[in-house]
Amino acid sequence: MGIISRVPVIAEKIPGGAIVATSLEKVLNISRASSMWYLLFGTACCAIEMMCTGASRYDFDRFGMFFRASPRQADLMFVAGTITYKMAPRVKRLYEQMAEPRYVIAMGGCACNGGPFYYDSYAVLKGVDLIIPVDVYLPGCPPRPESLMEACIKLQEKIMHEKLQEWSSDKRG
Amino acid sequence: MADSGTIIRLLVEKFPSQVEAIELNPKQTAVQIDPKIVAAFFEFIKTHPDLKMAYLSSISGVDMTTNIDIVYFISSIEYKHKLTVRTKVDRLGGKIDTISTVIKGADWFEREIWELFGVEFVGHPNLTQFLLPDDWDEGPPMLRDWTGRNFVKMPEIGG
Amino acid sequence: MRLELSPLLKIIGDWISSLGLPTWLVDLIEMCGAAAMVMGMAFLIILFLVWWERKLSGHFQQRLGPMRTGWHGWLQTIADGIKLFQKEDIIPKTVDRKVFYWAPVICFASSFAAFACLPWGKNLWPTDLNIGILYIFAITTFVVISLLMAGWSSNNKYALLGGMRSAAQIVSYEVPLTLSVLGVIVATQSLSMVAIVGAQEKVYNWFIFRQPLGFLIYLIAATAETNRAPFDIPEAEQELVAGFNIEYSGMKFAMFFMAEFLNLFLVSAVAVTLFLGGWHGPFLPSWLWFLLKAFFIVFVIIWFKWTYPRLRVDQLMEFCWKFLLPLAFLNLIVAGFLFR
Repeated sequence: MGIISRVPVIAEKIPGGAIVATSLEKVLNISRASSMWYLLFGTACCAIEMMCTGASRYDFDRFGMFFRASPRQADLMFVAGTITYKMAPRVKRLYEQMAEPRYVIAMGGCACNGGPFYYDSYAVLKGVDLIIPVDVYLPGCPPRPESLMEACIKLQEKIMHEKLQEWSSDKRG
Repeated sequence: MADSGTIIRLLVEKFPSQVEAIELNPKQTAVQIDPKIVAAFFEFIKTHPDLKMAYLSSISGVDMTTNIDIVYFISSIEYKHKLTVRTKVDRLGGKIDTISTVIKGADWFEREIWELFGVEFVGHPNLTQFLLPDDWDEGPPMLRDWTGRNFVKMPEIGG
Repeated sequence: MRLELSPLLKIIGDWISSLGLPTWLVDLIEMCGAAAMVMGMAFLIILFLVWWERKLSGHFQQRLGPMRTGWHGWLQTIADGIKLFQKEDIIPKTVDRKVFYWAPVICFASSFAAFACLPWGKNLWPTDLNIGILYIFAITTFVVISLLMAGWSSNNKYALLGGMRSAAQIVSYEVPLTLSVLGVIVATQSLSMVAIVGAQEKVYNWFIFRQPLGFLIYLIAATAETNRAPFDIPEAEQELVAGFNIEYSGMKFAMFFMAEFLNLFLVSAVAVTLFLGGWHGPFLPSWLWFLLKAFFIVFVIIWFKWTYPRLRVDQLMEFCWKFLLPLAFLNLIVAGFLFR
């Protein structure tokens, strides 16, 4: 989206153009935040909590989030569960296959920093941010569905504050 | 259903000097056997009409610092009795016969013990790496004195 | 007083003709106008259907669907659309580029081209082909080609399997579908959509009462044609990481997405025209009746999706060839005798 990132620069030169740029920014941000499609990806216990949150009582679909199985069509990856050294290259590959703009929520203790497996483990990657960039860290073992929804709402707030000018791909993960 | 005493009596009768009963806890029937008779032992308890133990629940490895203990947990679906079998192998370069020819389910348990403890199972059909990452080169990780890739030891409590 | 749209369109048409333009220009303007109206209608329908499916699926599962974007989430489709517009368009290195590009276009275009023949209300159809129903089934067959193209060009084993299964399913279910429709055609002696609607003026003349078996077969085969549950092995393979869509992202995926909903509305609209009396009905304007009936059939098909578990591929094929097909033949024979 190289053209879109030059809109604010061009718009500022026109009187009243800044309003167009900020409104465009707001519309694009709101649409991205209200329609996050998350990747069906979960390794361990946190995946069960993610499934619960997507189900009837807590319901992700209220926020417009529903799951896609193919990483090419997903915007958001919940890294839900313990990532071992064996799984790490696959997680990185999935992240790279996602289409930009893409976001990552590190769900649960194991994804944040290794969790309960930080000590005395030969196989657990100590935090998924060692291999992919993370937007929101969500501690818990596992975090309750309400916590997970709070993390999604925080991500939505983060998206609302994104600027059009940062749309060139070297600023994004 | 043979009770604990009968099982041990039958086993000791068949393998006089190589099997001895050990006391682990009151509810568990346990024997310690000589590693050389492993295959014959499992063949015996699988086919004997009073024992008929063919369901292998698990095989565990325990690093006892002087040697490695291999513990087999086996039970019978027909008679509903259980047995725990312990053997000792050497720590580095230890070898023991495989029982996967007798009980097919032992295949992956033995592969796991080979991968994580370094115990070789002679006669195993497929002793290759499958749990550890593809580029693992730091030796069997479950040994007590192992350190390696980013390994952080739990600090002592009160320290 | 019924609020019909056709007098309004007639007034606009007369005004354009009175401008004194050359005939070909007048025809061109009318054609473009009709195409634009149908296109607008199609997009509005997609907008509504995506939102409606999410809400209905939510309520069938005892949860609320989208609630945040607009009142009860009615802006959800627009948000989805704008988001898909912003997504990076990934084209993997090893795909067959031309085929990869054209597959979603053909899928969308073919579903959309069939809308030209539907009778939307009294005197309110873009065109009245005298081979209407044949044209619709012929054009929607391009969807099969586009699915195969998508599956093959993606250079991905899951996509290929999904595409092949989808093609096999659609091609198989076309047979009972066409046979069930033949029952209606035998009764009306005409392939034209308008004539078929015209033969159903009174409620007791509706073909759902005169050929109920045909309606059932049509409904089941139509659900299979649009790759919807319980026949959604090619589509729900996506839930199992497969399916022809797997390598598509961004706008190309949006085209497949929209084409699916267009197809859904199309088969419902054809069901309404053939079996439920088209736009006939008391009190309300005819276009409103058409839309209400069509959305009712859409509701029934969405209901199927969220009620029944998925059929396996072999069960699917067996059901078609060993069960539906003999029933469809039986229906045709009986219709042939009854409506001589």
